[in-house]
Amino acid sequence: MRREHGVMSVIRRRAMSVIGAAAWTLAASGAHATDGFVEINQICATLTGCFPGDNPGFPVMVDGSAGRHYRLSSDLTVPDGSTNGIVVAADGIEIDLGGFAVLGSVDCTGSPIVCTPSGGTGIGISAASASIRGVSVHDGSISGQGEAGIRLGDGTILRVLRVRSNGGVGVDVADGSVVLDVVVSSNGGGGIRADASRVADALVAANGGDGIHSDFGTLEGNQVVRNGGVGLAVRAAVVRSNTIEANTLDGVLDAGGSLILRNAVNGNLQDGIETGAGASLIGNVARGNGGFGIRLAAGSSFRENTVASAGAKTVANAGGLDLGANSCNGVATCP
Amino acid sequence: MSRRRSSVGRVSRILLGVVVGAAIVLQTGPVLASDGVREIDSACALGPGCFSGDAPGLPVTIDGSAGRSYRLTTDLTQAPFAPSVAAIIDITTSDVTIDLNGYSVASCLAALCQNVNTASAGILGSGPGIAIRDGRVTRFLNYGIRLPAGQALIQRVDLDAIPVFESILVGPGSILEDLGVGTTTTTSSPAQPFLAVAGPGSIVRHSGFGLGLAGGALRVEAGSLVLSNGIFVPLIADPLLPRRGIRAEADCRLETNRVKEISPSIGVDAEIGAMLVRNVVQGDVVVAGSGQVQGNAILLESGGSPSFALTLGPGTTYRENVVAATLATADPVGGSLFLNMGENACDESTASCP
Repeated sequence: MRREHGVMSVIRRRAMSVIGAAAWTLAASGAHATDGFVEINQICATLTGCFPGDNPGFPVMVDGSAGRHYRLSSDLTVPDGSTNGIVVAADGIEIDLGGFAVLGSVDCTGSPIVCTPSGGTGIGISAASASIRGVSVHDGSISGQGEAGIRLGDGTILRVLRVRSNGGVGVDVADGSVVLDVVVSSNGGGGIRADASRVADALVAANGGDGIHSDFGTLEGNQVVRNGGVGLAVRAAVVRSNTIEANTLDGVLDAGGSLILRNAVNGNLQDGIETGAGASLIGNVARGNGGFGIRLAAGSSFRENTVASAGAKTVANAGGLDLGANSCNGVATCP
Repeated sequence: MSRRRSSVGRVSRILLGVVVGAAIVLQTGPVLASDGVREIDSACALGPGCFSGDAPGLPVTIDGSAGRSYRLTTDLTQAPFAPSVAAIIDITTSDVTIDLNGYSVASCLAALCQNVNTASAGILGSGPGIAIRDGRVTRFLNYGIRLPAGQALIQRVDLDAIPVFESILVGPGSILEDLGVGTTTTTSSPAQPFLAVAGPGSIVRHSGFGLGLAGGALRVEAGSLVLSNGIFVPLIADPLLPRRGIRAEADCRLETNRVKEISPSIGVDAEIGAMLVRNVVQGDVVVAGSGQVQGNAILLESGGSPSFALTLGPGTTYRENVVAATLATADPVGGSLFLNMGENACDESTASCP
């Protein structure tokens, strides 16, 4: 009898160790890649941690010890508006969202936009500190986060993303970043904040604050429409070939020194384009804005622009240079 | 002692085999790829359903309960003589990505397809933020891709059919990129709208639109950007139905597009506040007013009876354009209250531009 009891005890122990090992494999096997990418999924994120350096529960902490390349293999659903989704704690990390979504519980609707629940502090994808740089994120969506969709540091690359319905700003990246082919919409705060960066081919619409805010950046080929603040808030930036329409404040608000070239700036509720000192406006169309089509500061210049406004509110010129070939309300001279 | 060790070892091996086998079964089900993307194939789509929320048979319904990333692994073709369905794929939630993976979404085979059995639409989506890429949508009856909630991202998709409505319709704030959109019809009906429609504030770029329906090839709503596309609208059977290469509503920007139309269509028909920059148009161009037309090449040479190759409304400026009208009945530039800002060439003479 004693011998049988001993045998069963051994069997039981071995069975538990085998089952335990298999359970670990099942739960965390999403984190083992076949092509060099380390996988992140909801199961490992919540139950076991996805790789070394990541503990069970959100946020998924990427400190680089498991590698540089990560890919989602399921949606990630963050439990509440004050919890982060993915936090990056190392330079040079790539995150392929694989078409999946980082989802939260915040919903932003209406005009003016209202996000509920409000007051959250969670961010979909963020950096552990301001010194983290060179992170790239692509191919998926981030929505429903409490504070922001994405907040990353210098040298960030964002491509082919939808960032929607987050409680605060949609995208906030630091200097030297590139933001391409993104749809940033219906966020409670601004759409994109990207100083000294390039933002191109983006669609930024219906956000609660400014559409794009960029000092020293290059903004090209973007659609910036129906945002609750300024369409483009810039300083010493290159602003080229954008459509800026129906924003609640100015279409383009330049704090000075920007090159504003061949944009369509129409139907904004305040001025179409308002400049600070040292701006150059070339070849823009400004039509049907609620304030002046162009408000020009001293030391700025404008040429080849077409301005159409109700009444006499075409150009307010506080000492800027008219370099010619401008038209205002169908007349080849402007104030 | 040895008998005890061998029985323990045998049981352990059996247990290990059971657990590993279960792991294999759980992890490699037929519709879940190794990267977690939900796979859709014809067998599950026409059969038992592909994942949670998807009932047997078409449409493949994506409600988000199985995740938000999907990939085709075969063509999806409606079975011949099957009951009519609203769509091949029906997306009822937001933020879904569908990788067509080089495959087609199609209604039943042409030889066996009766209108009553044809899928009404290729892909329908009711939520915002849907992305579709890399494949083909064909032979649909009403719509190819219809995403009215907008904020969509459609890339590298070919659409061809003889639909009643649009081949592709996207709502506000969408991006259409690298599409090929065409039909094979040679007749038109007053009920047919445009081949492609993009909602306000959208971007349409690097795409080709051929033939067009009764309305025309491409319609973009207010404040949209149309960049580097090719549009072809050939002669139609019914000359009483003017079609448009591009119909742009207020405040749109059209840049570096190539438009070829055969009258009586209109090459580019732009409402108030348009910017036309560096386009090449074989056909006529109409800009309603308060716009800017710069650096374009416009040639009107085919039949019909337009008065001008370039018609400009009040307050519109034009500069640096090359405009030619080889029709005896048409002049290069006309309209009312527009401004010649210089450096235009009309019928090979800078002196003849009004």
